[in-house]
Amino acid sequence: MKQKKKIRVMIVEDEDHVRTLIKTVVKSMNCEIVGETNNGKDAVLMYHKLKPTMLLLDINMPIKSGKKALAEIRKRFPNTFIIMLTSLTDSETVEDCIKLGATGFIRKDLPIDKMREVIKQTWSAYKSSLQ
Amino acid sequence: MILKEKYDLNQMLTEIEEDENEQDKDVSQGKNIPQEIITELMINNLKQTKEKRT
Repeated sequence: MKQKKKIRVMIVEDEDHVRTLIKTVVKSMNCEIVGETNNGKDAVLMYHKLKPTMLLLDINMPIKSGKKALAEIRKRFPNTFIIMLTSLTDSETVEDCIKLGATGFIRKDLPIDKMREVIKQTWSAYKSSLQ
Repeated sequence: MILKEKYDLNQMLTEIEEDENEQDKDVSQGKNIPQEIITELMINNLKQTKEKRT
């Protein structure tokens, strides 16, 4: 029987406990974690190398922010599925991320079930936007 | 001379409530936007991107 192909995911988050939480969410969704890092600079380099299907990207990180990493990745890969992770959900942050090309947005204070639901909803809308 | 104006307290309260409701709907004023509203914004953005492309 043919197995359903797993979605390749990369996680960028500087807080270890949040990264562990996100990994738990992603692993429960038939996804394969192909890479993880804790800063924006490494995120850009790793993305170019791994080219994952889905990128979960924190905003506030050392060395290079998630917004800068988003802009750099988006420039070269315009159709990538990128979900921003953040504790800050002020209008400026959300609008900036939309302008820079984020596909989705997840508040870190969401319960696991809700995070899963948001990823599914956004993924479905993203797939539909490509058709 | 002190001018006295009469205010309708109920009307004032209604106006305050209406202002608060309007502000809740206005994302540009949001400091802590709920996940549902952000997801809706993101999905609408994807739909618009698709429409622009087709």
